[in-house]
Formats: sequence, C-alpha cells, structure tokens
Amino acid sequence: MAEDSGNGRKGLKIRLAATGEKVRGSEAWSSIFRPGSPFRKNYTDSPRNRSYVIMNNVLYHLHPVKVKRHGVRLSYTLCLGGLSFFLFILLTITGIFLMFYYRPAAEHAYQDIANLSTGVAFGQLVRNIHRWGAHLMVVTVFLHMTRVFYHGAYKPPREFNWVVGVVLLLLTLLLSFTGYLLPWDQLALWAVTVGTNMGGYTPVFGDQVSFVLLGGIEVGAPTLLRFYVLHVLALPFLIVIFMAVHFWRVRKDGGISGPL
Amino acid sequence: MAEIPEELLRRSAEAKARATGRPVAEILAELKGETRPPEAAPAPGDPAPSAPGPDAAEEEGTLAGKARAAAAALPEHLLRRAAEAKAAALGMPVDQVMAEMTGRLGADTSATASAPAAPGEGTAPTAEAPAAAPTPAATPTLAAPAGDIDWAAAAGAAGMPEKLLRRSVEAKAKASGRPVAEVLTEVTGIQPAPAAPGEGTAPTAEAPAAAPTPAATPTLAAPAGDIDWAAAAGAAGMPEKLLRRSVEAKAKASGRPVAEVLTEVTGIQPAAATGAAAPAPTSTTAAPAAGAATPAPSLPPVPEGVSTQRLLTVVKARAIQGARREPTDKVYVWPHLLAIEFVALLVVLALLVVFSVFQDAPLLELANPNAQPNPSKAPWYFLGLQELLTYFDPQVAGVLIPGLGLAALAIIPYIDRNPSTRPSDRKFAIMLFTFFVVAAAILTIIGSFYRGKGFNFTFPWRDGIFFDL
Repeated sequence: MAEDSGNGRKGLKIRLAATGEKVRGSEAWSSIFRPGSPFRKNYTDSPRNRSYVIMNNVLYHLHPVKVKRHGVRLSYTLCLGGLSFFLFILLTITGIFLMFYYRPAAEHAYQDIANLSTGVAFGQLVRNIHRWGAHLMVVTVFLHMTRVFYHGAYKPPREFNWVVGVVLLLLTLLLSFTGYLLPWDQLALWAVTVGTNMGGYTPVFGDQVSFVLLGGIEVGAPTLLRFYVLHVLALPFLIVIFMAVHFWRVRKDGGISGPL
Repeated sequence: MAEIPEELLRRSAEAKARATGRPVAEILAELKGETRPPEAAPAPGDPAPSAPGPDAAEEEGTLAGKARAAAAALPEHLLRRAAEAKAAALGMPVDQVMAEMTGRLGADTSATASAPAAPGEGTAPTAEAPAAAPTPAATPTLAAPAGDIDWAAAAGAAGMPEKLLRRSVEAKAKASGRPVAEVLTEVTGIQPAPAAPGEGTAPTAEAPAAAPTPAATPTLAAPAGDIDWAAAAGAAGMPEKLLRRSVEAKAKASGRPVAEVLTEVTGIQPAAATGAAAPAPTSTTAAPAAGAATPAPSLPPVPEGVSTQRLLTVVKARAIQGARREPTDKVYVWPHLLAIEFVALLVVLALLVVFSVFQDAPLLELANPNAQPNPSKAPWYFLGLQELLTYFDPQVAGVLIPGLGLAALAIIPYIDRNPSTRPSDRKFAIMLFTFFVVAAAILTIIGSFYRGKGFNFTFPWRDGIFFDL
C-alpha cells in the first residue's frame, strides 16, 4: 500500500479514491440515484434503505418492498416468469442488432443472414443468441404456466391474470413463428408453410385469414414482409401491453401466491 | 420565562388553575419563577380579574371536593368534571350529583353532601341549589301523562317500533325536563292522540306540565342581564360574545341560572355590571333558594325506576372491529429476492451465450417453393399438432383441437372453483392437467423425433433424426 510515496505527493490509489468520492458526492450523481440507492454515497444497510432501494426504483413496478419468505425460495417459482421477461428483453436487444443488417425482401433476406457469419462482428453469435433465446423463451413461458397451475396460483383473485398469461403464451408462440420465416431458407419456408396450412383449414373465414396473413394464397415474398412487420413491431407492441397488465395484476392480486 | 408574553403566561396559568382547582395567582407566580407562598393574594399589578372572594370560594369548594375525591380514590378534577357533565345532562345541581357519585363509591355521603352547604358564606353551593327545586317537582307531572298517550298510533305514524319510540321519547323528555307529549310531537312531528278518545286526559295533563317552563325561565333569565360579561370574558380569555352565547345556551339547556353556569364554565364568580362587590350576584340568585338550600340534598333525586342512561344507537360489533391481516413471514426484496433473480439471470445468460458460441443456428439453402423437403416439419412447438394431423381430419387436428384447447386453458380458473391450493385437495385438477401436458409432450416428441420421410413413423436410432430447430 503506497499511501504516501514519501515525497509529499499522494499515491495514485488515494487520488482515485478521492475522485470517486467526489463524483459520488456530486449533485449530478445524487440526482441520478434516488435516496436509498446502494450506489449513493454513504449507503448503509438498514431496513429503511432496503425499502428505499425498491420504492425509489423503477423496480417498484415489478416488486413490492417485501415478499413472503417462501416466495424467495428458488424451488418455488424457479424464476420462470422473471426469466421469461429477461429473455424477452434479451431478444429485443439482439433483435434490434439484427435489424441493422437485415432486409425483409425475398432477394436480400437469405444473403443478409448468411453475411452475418462472415461480414458482421459478432453477427453469428448474436443471431445464435436470438434464435436459441427464442426457443428457450417458449420453454420458460410454458413451464411458467405449468408452475402456476400446480401451485393453484390462478385461483381467485388471480383468475384474470391467468387469462392474460394464456394470451402471452399465444403471443410468444406467434412471435417465434413469425420470426421463423425471416432467414428465408428452406427450413423457414416449409415450416411456415406447414404451420399456416393448418390455420387455413379454419371453417368459414380460414381462407380469408390465411390470405391476409400470407399476402397471397401461399407463402411468398409478400409473406416475408408481413411476418417481418408482425415480428418486429405489431406483436412486440401487443405483448408489451399484455406484459404490463400481467405484471401489474401480479402486484395488485397480492403478489406471489401463498405456500402450498 | 421572561421571553414569554404576559398574555400567554396568564392564559396558561388560568387553564392550569381550572384543571387543578388552585388559584390563578398562585400558579402564575409559580410559572413566573417567583416562588411565593401558596396562600399569597394575587399580585397588586396583576391584570387578572380574579378577585380574592371567588378564589376563597374556589378554595372552599376544592377542600370539600378533595375530601370526596379521596373517598372515591379518583383525582378530584376528574371527579368534578364527570359530575359536572352528568349534572348538565340531568339538569341537577353538580354537588348533588357529586355526592351521589361519591356515595355510590362508598363514601360517607351525608357528611360530604352537607359540607358545601354548611359555611355561612357558601356562595357557590347556594347558587347551585335553586336548580334542584324544579327537577323533582317537574318529573312527576311529566311522567304522569305518558301513560295516556296512544303509543301504538304514534309509532305507526312515525314508522318505527312502538317500544323504541316510547323509550326514546321518554328518555328525551326526562333528560330535557319537558313533557313527554311535547317531546313526542317534536320527534315525530305529530300531535299525540290520547289512548281513550272520550276521556280527554291528554289536554289537561299537558297543561300542568307546560306550566313550570314559563315560570322558571324568567327567574333564570333575569340575573343574566346583571352580569358583567366583558369582565368575565376577559378573565376567561375568550370573546365576550362567544362566552355569553355559550353560557346562556348551557343555562337554558340545563335549566340552571346563568350566573351559576358562568361560574362553572369559567371558574370565576361573575361580577355585577354595576361594579358592586363580589357577593352581589348571590343576592339575586341565592334568594329564592335560601329555604331549599339548608336541608341537605337527599340522595335519590331521580324518580323510581328511571335509569340515567339512554340508548343512543346500536353499533354492530362487526363494524368497529379492526380488519387486521394475519402476520406473514416476509423478507426484503432487496437484497434477498433481487440477488436471486440477478444470479438466475446471469446463469441463464451465461448458458445461452456459451451454447450460442458452440452451436450455430441452422441456415439451410435458399428458400425454394418448388423443392419441398421431405419431411416438411413445422416449428417444434407445433409438431404435436402436426402429429395429430396424421390421426384426424385437418379441421379437427388443425383447428378444433388447438382452438378448444386454448379456450379451455384460458377458462381453467372459471371452471375450477375449488378454493384450495393444496395438492392433496386438487387431485383431479392436477391429474387432468398433467394428462394433457404429458399427452402434448408425447405428441411433440413423436412428431419431432419419430417421424421421418413422408412423416412416417421411424426410430431415430435406426433412420436418423429428421428435426431442425
């Protein structure tokens, strides 16, 4: 520890620490981190500050100050709901990255995807994360639903939130399905063809819905654009609204459900 | 102490004096820090209008009161306040009520009750005495006509049970010292009909009852004009108008002389407007009472069979019970839950990144609508449905089953009305749900791994896997 180098000059470590203190004590810093934040100067661990960390934070939209002790146990929820939300955020981030290099046109789409692995730094990795994350999100959402069922957590007053959850599951599947087409390779084309063929059997309005979704009688160039818009804009918009309601109802319906 | 304004100091001292029953001057001196002997006369320059006379009377009353308080084992001022409230409500002299209270509590009632009346000066007690006279005289006459009222008819007109109406009206009449018939008229807004129409007892019964009221009011109202309200207001530390209105209203309600009520409210003897000596008011108020004061007030001033309480309202027990939640074992989200969530997030992110580094997402050759691969499979989460297509008509497997399944999933909470969340109570629900989940999983696995060329059944270890993510 070179606290004093002996020639009257302060050591680098001390000067760095002093600068850190000065920054953390500045008005700008205090304006960013609300009272009770652990990043604030002179933060101490106290029940009051533990409350403030949540209350003075955007996280207050997701969590109350306190939760039932059994709810904290990892084996109770397995964090499935939270992980689904996290995966959605991760998919949004990686998806925005991919949008910079992707053109939703039949003549460009495949080549743009292929170029990710050769012409874009971390392009292949980001695409991999996006694809595997999407599959994982379908899994976590589904497992979250089964977890909620086995805990009876859909019972009053949480009935409606279960319905919202079913809508979220459907939207998740649709997001995954619309994204499936975008690489415009043989796998994408024929998987979506098989999938949309099933919808086309719907009586009365099946053909009309199919035509609107595909932009034609079969999967083609217009379908690519439509699925792209659905995938990057329409469905995320919808799912964010339903997620907001879902999280809000979790808080309003009494937080995490009771122990078994 | 010097920095406190004189006015505030005085008001505080007066309030204290009222509460403790000690002279104002003494407390004022104490507050100022000039420790004076307790029996000292008020300071010459003191603007407080409390004359030595009333102070002495106050002392007198206090001594008697202290004896009673000791007997009742209650603080004297508390006892006095309770007695005053009761006296105001019943329209009885305070001392009588107090004697009654202490007597009930086991003190020697005759000694304590007679104590205030004994001294020759006796200004305060004698002033209270005249109020005692009308009450016993009036109550018998009031009680009498009550029996002749047709309660059933009145109750029918008022739209409430006869028993409740009667109890309420009689209690009100007793409390206010007015005839029952009059109160009934006021409460229900209807003239009470006599029980027997031919007898005509009600009008005659009302007449004597009405008589005491006009007779009493002039004597009560008369001395009010002679009181020096300005001085009293100054002493009490409140606006003259307010004091006067309050005291007069109180006197009217309790049927006692204004001067007496003023003494009770402010704790000072009212000085006459003419500037005469302190005993002046006693000449006006005490005169008619002189005869009545000497005999010690007898213990039961309340008529036989009459309770001094009345039913105001019935409050249901449920309404006033606090709705308190069961205490639950809770922990702070920060750091306990947030730490777990953050670690879970990091673990999933790490696994995902590592997996993505080593496993590339599939990218087959460019899409070609003219070359359908064999087999063509939907995304994995639809492979269960695609598997169903091999068993059922497309309209059943592709539309009916997923549609009904989704709808059934959504309305689970509205079908399952079993309130319990314990697995042992929900065996059927769990069994049913598990059946469908396992069925979907089996169908998906078969569709994913056990379907090969032409979507025909195959074994993955024999023909390889026809599956892409």
